[in-house]
Amino acid sequence: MSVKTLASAGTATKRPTPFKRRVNWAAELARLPLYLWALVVLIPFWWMIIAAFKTVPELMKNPPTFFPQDPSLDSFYDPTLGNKDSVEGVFQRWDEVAGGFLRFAFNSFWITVTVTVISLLIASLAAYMLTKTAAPGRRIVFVTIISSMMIPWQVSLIPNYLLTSDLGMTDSYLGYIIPGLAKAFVVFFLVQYLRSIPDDLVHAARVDGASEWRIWWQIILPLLRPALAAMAIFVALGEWNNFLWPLIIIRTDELFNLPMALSSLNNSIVSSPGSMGVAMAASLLATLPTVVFFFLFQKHFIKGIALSGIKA
Amino acid sequence: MPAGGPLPLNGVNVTVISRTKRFGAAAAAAAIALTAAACSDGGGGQDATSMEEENVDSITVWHTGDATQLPMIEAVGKLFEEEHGVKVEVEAIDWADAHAKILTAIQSQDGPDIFTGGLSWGIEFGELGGLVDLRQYETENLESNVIDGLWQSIESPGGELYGVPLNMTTYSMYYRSDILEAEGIAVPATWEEMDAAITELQGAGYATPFAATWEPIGWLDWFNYMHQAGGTLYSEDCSEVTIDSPEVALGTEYWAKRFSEQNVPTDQPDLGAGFSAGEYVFATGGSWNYDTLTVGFPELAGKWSSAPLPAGPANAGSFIGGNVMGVMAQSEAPGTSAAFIDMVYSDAGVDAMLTTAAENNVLWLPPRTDKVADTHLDDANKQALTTIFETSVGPPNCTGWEPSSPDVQLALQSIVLEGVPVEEALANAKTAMEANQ
Amino acid sequence: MTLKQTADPERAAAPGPAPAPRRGRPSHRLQRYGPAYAMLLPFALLFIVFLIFPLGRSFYYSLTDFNGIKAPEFVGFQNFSELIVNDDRFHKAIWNTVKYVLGSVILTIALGLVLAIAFKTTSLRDRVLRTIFFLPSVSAGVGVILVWRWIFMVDSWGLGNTVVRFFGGENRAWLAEPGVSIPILTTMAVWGGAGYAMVLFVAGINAIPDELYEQASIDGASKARQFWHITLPLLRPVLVFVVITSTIGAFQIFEPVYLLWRRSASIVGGPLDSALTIVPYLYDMGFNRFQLGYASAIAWVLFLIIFLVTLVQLRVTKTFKEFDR
Repeated sequence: MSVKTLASAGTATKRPTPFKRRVNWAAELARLPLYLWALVVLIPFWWMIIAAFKTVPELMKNPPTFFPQDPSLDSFYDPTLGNKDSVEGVFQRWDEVAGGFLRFAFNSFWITVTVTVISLLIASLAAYMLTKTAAPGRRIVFVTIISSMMIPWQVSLIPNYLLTSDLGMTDSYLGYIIPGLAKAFVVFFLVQYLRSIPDDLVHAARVDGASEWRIWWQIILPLLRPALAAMAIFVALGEWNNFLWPLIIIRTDELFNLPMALSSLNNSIVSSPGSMGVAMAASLLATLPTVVFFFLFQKHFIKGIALSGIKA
Repeated sequence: MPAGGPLPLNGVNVTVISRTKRFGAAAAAAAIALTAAACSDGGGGQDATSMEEENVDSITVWHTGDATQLPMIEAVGKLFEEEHGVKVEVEAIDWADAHAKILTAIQSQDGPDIFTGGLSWGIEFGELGGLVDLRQYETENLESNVIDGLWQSIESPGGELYGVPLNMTTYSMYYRSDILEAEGIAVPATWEEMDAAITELQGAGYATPFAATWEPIGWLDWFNYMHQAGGTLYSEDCSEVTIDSPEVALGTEYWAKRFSEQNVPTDQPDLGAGFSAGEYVFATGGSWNYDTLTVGFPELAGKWSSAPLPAGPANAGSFIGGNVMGVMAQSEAPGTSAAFIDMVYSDAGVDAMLTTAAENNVLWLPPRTDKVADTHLDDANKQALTTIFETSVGPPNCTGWEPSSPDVQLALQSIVLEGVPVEEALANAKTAMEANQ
Repeated sequence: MTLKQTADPERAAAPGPAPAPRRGRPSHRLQRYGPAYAMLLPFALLFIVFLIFPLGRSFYYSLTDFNGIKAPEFVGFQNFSELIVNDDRFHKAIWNTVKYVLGSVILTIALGLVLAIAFKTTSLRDRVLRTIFFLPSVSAGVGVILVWRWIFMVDSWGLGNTVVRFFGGENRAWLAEPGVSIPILTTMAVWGGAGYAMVLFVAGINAIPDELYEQASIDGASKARQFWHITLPLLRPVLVFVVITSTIGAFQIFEPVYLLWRRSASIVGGPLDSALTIVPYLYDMGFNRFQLGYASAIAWVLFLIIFLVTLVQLRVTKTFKEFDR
């Protein structure tokens, strides 16, 4: 048996075995610990959600409650702020930043979208050039790109920080965005994908006199759609959760992304338990979009991941 | 969808080696040129300019701490603007990230005019060339007013004054006065009395009578006991590491015994919640707990108070920390910034801070001891704080201390967590400290 | 054409791009390929400036005593020899990382495989469960790490302590006990990663033709034999991919260490450095102490380790492959 059998079998097209009517009790029993694991997987989420809606005294209750007894939105926004035992909710905490927490959500969103769109565009251009044109030098370029994937990105962390600082881009959106645009993995993946697409269409278009740019825009991009969707998910999730890089280059609160804001709440957990409900509320707000995003594009997610495993 | 070939990594490995080898040499040459251009020195030696010469519209302060402390600095800022027409902008940065952030700012020559941060950072950053010597500027209020215990922590061994305290943070011992009363235990003032009280409370069913809430197995907590036993980290002129002295060993033994025999938790628990639940009777912690207990736990009102840490065989007293405040070397307005710092020490400045603190219900300990009585605490706690101030000691001012502190902390943790003998651990700490001398 | 033929011989039969005419003056060629190079330019430029060039610079720094402020001085391989010979914290970091990588990769893959086999169909139950298992991979990030930090609080109202007490244990100081630091990190990694591995395995398993199993059943092969002789060998490419990518990822762990054990400025790594791994140590040296030369050396050692481990993994799978034949 070798790889070829797997390849020839195809992946996405095959229908899995239909569910059999006969229940196999032994197999069900063996699955029991796995159901338990499903519960374990869900508990941290549940713990986060209920904490966000608990009041401060309930947060410190021993033993803890598994359903909020007196659900409250104070951890998000406490209308009685200023009174004793009031909580400084997520949306009240950064009153010196215009927009407060929403500003961080905006930053995260804006950076994620920009990086995803631009990095995919330039990567698809490069992938097209590398697979569908005959320009000399493609091989060395491609080998260099693959080779760079072997090197952990932390190796370039320090020089990239210094470079960003020399260019005056620390503490700016540019500093977030520009150094992260060239993603070797995306090019590699798109190249692999494009190779499985016949060249006939490109030929025909060239014969018709279409320019390379036009071919890229009108033929290649639509063909690449599934691959781009897969990569968009990877890049977007990575960017949404980006923490080490902003930790190094960002200094003013206005430019925090959500992970940075959460990290700063993390520091305050130590000094006051009320902050914990707030930290959980903020975590919930930061995690929710990714989960919603996942449920919206579940098919792409799963396909994209499967694709990445098989394409690579 | 047909699968691609096998993993491409097979072919890649070989090329990586040859590529980086060849590339390394060429890039190194290019890099030398670039870095030489990019890295000018950190300054620190420029001529002192006055506020008039600088003529700036605003200065920026980065305050290490949380946002609740900003109003106090802003209050002085308002005064400063009224008097000199220079706006003062204050931003808060987190403790955990601040050290790295300020270093990054020094490195990139792009940061605030004034920073505030850990007490020992002044000397550390100053020696790196990142701060200006405040003595080059006109600062009439500074010299006479900083308390002695702190002065020795902020003046560099070479005599430069890179930073002065903005506020202070002390170690206090908080206790549930109602429980002590019910059990008929007097507030312990010495190690022996403390031990006796803990034994008695354990007998009465309190599993965890004592909690340390400020870095329990960190060097900070240990520093108190080391000092109370008569130990020091360095000799007075910093030339010698004295962490292996018998006094330090004695203090360390006592410190470690609390975890092994008195069930003191090794991670920092929440003081207010533990008090509220009646789990702890005593807790050492930073002065910020005055606010936590007053504001966060109104139901505890009248049931708690504070006292100085119990005295050891040699000394009473405990650690005092706080924010140091200094002027960044890359600032375009060092004279203006120094004038602002001076104003923090003026009567009007301290009054403005204390008024704002009282309005916001935040305890703010100004660096001037003569003003402590003006804080909004009740008399018992005010009394405790005054005593604490008189006996407090700050961290050593020796340049090697800041880089050594993680190693010392590891050595101390090895005693509590691994049962390493005290002498051996302190010898390890000494080796690490001497390597940074 | 050369690229295709060498890199992907299986596809050589497929129609390639327009054959490059070799005739013509260079200027013609530039004209002909100008758009192609222009298309590569944005990526290439960013790639060189923010990836290739920094690599060289980083290597140069690793040979200096650069502290970010004073001009760097060349010290040869002193940083490397210090790291490898003398630096106990670094040794500890490597050892911790290795423990973490081994534990998390093996457990993640084992669990991922079990989940994939147990829940591979398109039935509603399987789809719902797969979604649940996959959820942590989607939501991985600082938010979820904060939840873990809260679960492992020292206070008696933390979830970890509540569970321990439920089973008759005593409250623990989870984040102050050196012995549990790596197990905590491993738990988080398995929790977050098993579902991801599962998705890849499900795709791989469902790509195996049913006929093979049917044939095997007819031949009287047991389920276990079918697993060892059909599923596992055919799953090998996916398995190799998961092993290698999760190993590389695990070596680079940073966020959980930084966020769970950070207590005060300038100290990372938890009690007795029991949670100190390579990248947090790099951060500590690089950005808390600004020993940028030294930190660059750490980065290159990290690269070497990952490189060697990947090499070994590929070598091992290759051996197995040959053995299989």
